[in-house]
Amino acid sequence: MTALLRELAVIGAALLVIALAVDRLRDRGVLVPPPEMVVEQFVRDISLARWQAARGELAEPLAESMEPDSLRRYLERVERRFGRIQDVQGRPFFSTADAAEASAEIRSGGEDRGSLHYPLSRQQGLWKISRLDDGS
Amino acid sequence: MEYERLVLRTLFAWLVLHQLFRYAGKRTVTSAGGVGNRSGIDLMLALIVGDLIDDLLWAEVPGAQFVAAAGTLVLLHVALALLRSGSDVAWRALEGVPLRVIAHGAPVAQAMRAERLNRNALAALLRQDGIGPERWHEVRASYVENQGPLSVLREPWARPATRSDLPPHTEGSA
Repeated sequence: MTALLRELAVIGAALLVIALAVDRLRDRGVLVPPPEMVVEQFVRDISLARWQAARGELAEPLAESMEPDSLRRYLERVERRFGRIQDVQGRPFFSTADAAEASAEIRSGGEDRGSLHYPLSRQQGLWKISRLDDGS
Repeated sequence: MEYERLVLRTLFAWLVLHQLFRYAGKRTVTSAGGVGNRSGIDLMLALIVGDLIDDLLWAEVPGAQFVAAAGTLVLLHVALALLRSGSDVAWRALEGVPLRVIAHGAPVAQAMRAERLNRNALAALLRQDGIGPERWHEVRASYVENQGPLSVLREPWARPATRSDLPPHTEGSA
């Protein structure tokens, strides 16, 4: 029983460290995924039709309005412009305490490349995409 | 990639796992590390936790998710270890039962099939205990233990002599 309590104490201490880092030290990219990683993961998720996972990367008002069908239509718009997404890499653009912007560099067939820019905001300590860019 | 962030995440992950495994028990540490005898459960823990750390290092998941996942796994492992140590039924259910592959010098075919051992593999394992094929008759029983190695119990007459085997010394005896 002592071992279990010690393990719980370690878990609690680690979570406390994370909370302090995010809230007091204003960590924006060490123990939370940085904006460019959120953007990269979002584009990768929609390219793989992982709609629920992609919704998890959106800020709250946007996440509520973007049902899987809406995300599917968004993906279609992106692919009409850039072609079928084969690889994506996130790039930071700027970041302040509560706002950021990052781009997703998309590689479609061959040497075709394009980029999408997403603004992000902080929600519950995590970066979330607050507006979708379809490249138009 | 910002290397300072990568270094900080690595340090954090190492510290969390170090503390989690520190209280998980010495058997868990040695067996999951592959140094000591390893059970399937320990190996499974090592593999899963080893994969979890990758997501944190590359910032694919928040640190809190990593702690929750790794912590849950180790917590479950410790809870199962406590259950195993306190209950024979739980021990048998979680660890399995050692199989006797040699009985009074003769290989037990059914047990060998269950452990996917052939005669050559069995001979190799016994040689590690210094028992060649010409001395199998000295083996009263040999078991494939839950952690994998072969244990050997010798016939009473084949055990190495000890001091207690000597007749008691009496004063004045030749």
